[in-house]
Amino acid sequence: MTSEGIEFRPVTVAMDGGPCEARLAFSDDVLLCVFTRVGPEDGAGWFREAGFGACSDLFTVQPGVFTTLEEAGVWIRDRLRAMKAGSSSAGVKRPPSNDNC
Amino acid sequence: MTELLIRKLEQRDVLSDEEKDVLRHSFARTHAYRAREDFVREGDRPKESCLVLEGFAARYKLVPDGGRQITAIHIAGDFVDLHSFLLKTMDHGVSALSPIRVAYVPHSNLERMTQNYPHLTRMLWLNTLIDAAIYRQWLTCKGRSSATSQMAHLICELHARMSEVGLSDGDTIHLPLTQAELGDALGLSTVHVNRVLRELRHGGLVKWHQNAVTILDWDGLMNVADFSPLYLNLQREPR
Repeated sequence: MTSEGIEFRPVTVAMDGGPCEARLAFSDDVLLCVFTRVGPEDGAGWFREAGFGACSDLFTVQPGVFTTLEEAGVWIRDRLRAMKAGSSSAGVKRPPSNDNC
Repeated sequence: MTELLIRKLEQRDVLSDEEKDVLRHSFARTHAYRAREDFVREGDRPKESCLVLEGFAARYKLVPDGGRQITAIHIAGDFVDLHSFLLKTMDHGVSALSPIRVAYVPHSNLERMTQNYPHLTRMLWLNTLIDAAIYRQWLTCKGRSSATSQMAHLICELHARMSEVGLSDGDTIHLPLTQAELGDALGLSTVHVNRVLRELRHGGLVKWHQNAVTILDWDGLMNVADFSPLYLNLQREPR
């Protein structure tokens, strides 16, 4: 499915309890997140299992479980906008580039 | 009201009767707080320090996204707020994780105590050094251990610390912490906390039923945690 520019492709991910339904989230064919489906004891919805670029732990904090993929899409678009603006809404400033690294 | 603190200090060195009396008579009042209630706030300038008599407390820092990082979990017998005697302005908060009762010692009494009783002063200094050792251990775990190992370590540590003041029941400790609070302490999402606990349970290492945590396989848990109680400085020797 696609939600306003964010494409969610179904995949299966290996989890501790066995294979788990998941989605890869892309923007313009660039992978930004892996979401796994979690059950009621974990909040029932989609959990950001891994994030990249604007959605990575470098630039954002772990979001809560999203009830729907549309909500996850809204969060990703916020992250992309925040990255473009040079900071994240979580208050985490983008680190300055460091030529030594 | 200071018996658990005395017990904790006496694990590490002998206290004279006079020193114990000084401790007993330094505390001026007690107060009870509800679970989740803050009793020291960032920016406060307390005139007294508090000791936990019953229950659990969290030392925490608020973070910009509205969440919090728990930097220490305190149990009965812990002097949670000795810092304010010298730091003056608190750079962090302390809140109750469960219904809690604390005893307050005025800073003026601590000043007199530190002027007149050098050994007791060193014991209180030791107390804050052990707090620092626990911070170091938590930091090392956070930076260099898996989430499962961190949780296993926290369980081993709390069991060791609670046993030290007689608050464990064999292999079981009473731990009224929510998954969100465990997540705030370990820097994990509640989903990860849940998974980690499931892994420890399925591995036959612990049983977590309601608020009772029972260690079923000490060797296995200590192995996953890479736990050694050395940093808790439990040996009794002249200080």
